[in-house]
Amino acid sequence: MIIYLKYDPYAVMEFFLNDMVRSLDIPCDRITAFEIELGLDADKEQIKAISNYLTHFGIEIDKDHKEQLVTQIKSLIVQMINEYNVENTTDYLCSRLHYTYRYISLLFRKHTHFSIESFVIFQKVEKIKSLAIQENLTLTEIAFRMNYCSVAHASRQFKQTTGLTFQEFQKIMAARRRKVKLQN
Amino acid sequence: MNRDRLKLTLVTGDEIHHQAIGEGLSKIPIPTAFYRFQDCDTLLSYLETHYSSAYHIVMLDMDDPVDGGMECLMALREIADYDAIVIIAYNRIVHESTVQKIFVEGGNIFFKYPQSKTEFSGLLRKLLMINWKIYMTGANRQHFLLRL
Repeated sequence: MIIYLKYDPYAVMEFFLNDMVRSLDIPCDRITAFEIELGLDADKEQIKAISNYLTHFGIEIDKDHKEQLVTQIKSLIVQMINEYNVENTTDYLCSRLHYTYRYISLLFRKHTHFSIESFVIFQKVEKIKSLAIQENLTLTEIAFRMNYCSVAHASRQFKQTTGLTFQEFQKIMAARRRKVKLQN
Repeated sequence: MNRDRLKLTLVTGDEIHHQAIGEGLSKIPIPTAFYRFQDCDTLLSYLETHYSSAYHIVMLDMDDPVDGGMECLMALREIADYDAIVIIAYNRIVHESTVQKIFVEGGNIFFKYPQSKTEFSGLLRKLLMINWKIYMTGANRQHFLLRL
């Protein structure tokens, strides 16, 4: 028998890190899934103890914090869209990362060459495509599920991003599937 | 991330296109390695020995009189190992049935070759930017369709 698990990896990681600092008796000001903010009096020995502890679980202290932060921003956006979260992106990212939006967005653009806003739209369109292909949903159903304010908005965003209407996209994907079926 | 780059391969016998793309790329911040092949056979032989997991974009001139772009597209898509290659096809004149066929045969992007250099630079920038996004996010390349 297989049992399927559903959980929040960020919450699990935070729990794990909290448990670690408690067991190592290291005082810290703040813990998120990707960060541990140590007190001002933290010393090298404490950092070494944390590093040694984490190594057992295949976790390393990341010296390039900015690159790590960009990865975090990307995964938070993907998570936000996958969970059909309607929160404002700015509030969503700032509340989870504890940085100002200005800092986050400048860093993101510098590292990726594109803006957070365009990345969000891009990911939303990717989600529309996957729902259309994997679950065979109509655009009306997708727009509802993804909390778009209207089907017209979802349709416009799709067309602007792909240059194709949703119907054209579906038609091409269906023709590709037919072609593969014929070949097999 | 700066160590990452896109690999862009152009297949055309047209020297003007080759130059225009080379010039356009120099103005775009996306790190790109640019290659050019005169025909499809040379590209296929090159891929046989040099294909790697790097993000690879192949740009096909569909109007090339020497070696039909459509045949090249079909030849590339026949080889399952090259499924991850992003194929961009372009034409000077647009026939809807051809555009449809390009996408059905496995092309990812279609654009009409613009008249002006400025327009072409803007288009190239857009093309690379969206490919960069796909690369950076690991998005599904088989569902990647774009018409410009």
